[in-house]
Amino acid sequence: MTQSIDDFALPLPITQIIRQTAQEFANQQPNPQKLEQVRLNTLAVLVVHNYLQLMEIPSSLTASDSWNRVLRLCADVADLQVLGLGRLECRPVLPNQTLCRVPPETWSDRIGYVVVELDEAAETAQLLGFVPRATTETLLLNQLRSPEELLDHLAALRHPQPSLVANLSQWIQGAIDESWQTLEELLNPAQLSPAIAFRGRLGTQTPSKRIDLNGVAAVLAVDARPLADESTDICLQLHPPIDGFLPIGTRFSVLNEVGEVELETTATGTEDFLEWQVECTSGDRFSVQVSLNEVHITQDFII
Amino acid sequence: MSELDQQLRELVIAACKHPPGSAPRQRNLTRVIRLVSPKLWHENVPYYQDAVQQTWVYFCRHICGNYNPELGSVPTWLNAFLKFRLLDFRNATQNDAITRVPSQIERDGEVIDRIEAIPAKPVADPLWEAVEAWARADVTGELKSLHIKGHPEVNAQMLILRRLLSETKWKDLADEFGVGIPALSSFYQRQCMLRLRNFGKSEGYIDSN
Repeated sequence: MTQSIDDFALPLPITQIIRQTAQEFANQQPNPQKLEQVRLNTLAVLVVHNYLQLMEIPSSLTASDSWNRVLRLCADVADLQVLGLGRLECRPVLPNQTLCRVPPETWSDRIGYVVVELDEAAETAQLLGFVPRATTETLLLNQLRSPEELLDHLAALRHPQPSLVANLSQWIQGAIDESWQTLEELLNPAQLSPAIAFRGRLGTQTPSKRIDLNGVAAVLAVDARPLADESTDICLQLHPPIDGFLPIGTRFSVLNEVGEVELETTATGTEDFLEWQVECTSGDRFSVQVSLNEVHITQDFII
Repeated sequence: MSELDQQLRELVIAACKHPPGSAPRQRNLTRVIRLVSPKLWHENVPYYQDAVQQTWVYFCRHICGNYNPELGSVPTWLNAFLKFRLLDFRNATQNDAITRVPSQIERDGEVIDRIEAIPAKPVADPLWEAVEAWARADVTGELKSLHIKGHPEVNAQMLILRRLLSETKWKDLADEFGVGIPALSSFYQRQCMLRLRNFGKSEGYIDSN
């Protein structure tokens, strides 16, 4: 794994009003199990709500199922409606737990799952991290991504991939626009080990961009080098998300300037990464398309 | 200047280069909160975490423009603010004490919090009975008619009643009806929760903030 949770856990306050609200909701429950479930869920939702307020990400409690008394009785829900995006599930865990329960009634209709550790004695919470999707009842905490990646995830949902044309001649001059980061910033150390990423020619500073495929964060890396004959040699790699492999069926294609597929390969769920190498001359245009099911993300390039 | 102070200063500069609400600003502010938290002034008072929350709100809204690195490190700046907020809370509590019965009393030489001394007891809520009655009555017949494809017995009414108060485990339902948990829970989310949500809204069971 990349960093451990201890490195990226974010301490946040559990205020008096949070505690009072959680106790009030809990007291409406008819049995001790529901009482504790609702109390912890409410604490987690309110801690995340306060954090999103700090980040100026608008969220609405009253539009959340966790604020609907009927649904609190009928389901184990700890959702928070992030305005304009959807429901973010805020799952509570107690100190020293190594896994988090994700109830089946929260497996769909969610934009992500945040895990909040509640240390009630200290009146503090730790935002441990998040995952974009959940399909099993238990989530190992060491699979969580950092709170910063949650912020990126929410931003990517709000602003679907800008399809700015990347000018590779300018890249070669050193002018790379701000929407590109480096491979080092986007992959974890294991993925960056020479045995995997740099079997080819890419380095830690290769311009790279996160691509959000319906909650799966893949990384597109692009290396452009001038050749002696004035043409440009371009290496394109698609790396899997930090926590696994590219989903089976992910298509990685190179399209010509009229949008026809020239090269295409499909992930089988086992590759370290997918790669294409193309040679272009000045003025050429092409696009890279990454597709999964009905989601297509395209990046245009010009030389 | 310590290495941490230097790092914090750089994170603040990086955050302020981007507009409020943008991901790079959020990421850098988050890093500052993480790094400063262990350096915050601490007091053992009931309103301490409220003062911390106010400090973070102030920090996130006003760091860009109001913070002058010449006058001290980020933790120093935030601790000064935090101490003022604690003072505000202390004064407010004291003013309260003048006009109201003290919330703490002394009993046998021991300070007892009067509010905490009241045992919290669950209030029996008839709401679950109302939900149960609504689902059983199924006035329009809709709940009974909605079912998982090929399994008429696995209908919305049955699932709502069995899942009320989380009483029947998903695993047990899956075994009993031979339908997988993903199919059951997906149906429950799409069909049952939608109708429960609307029932809650129409009856006014939405809490205010």
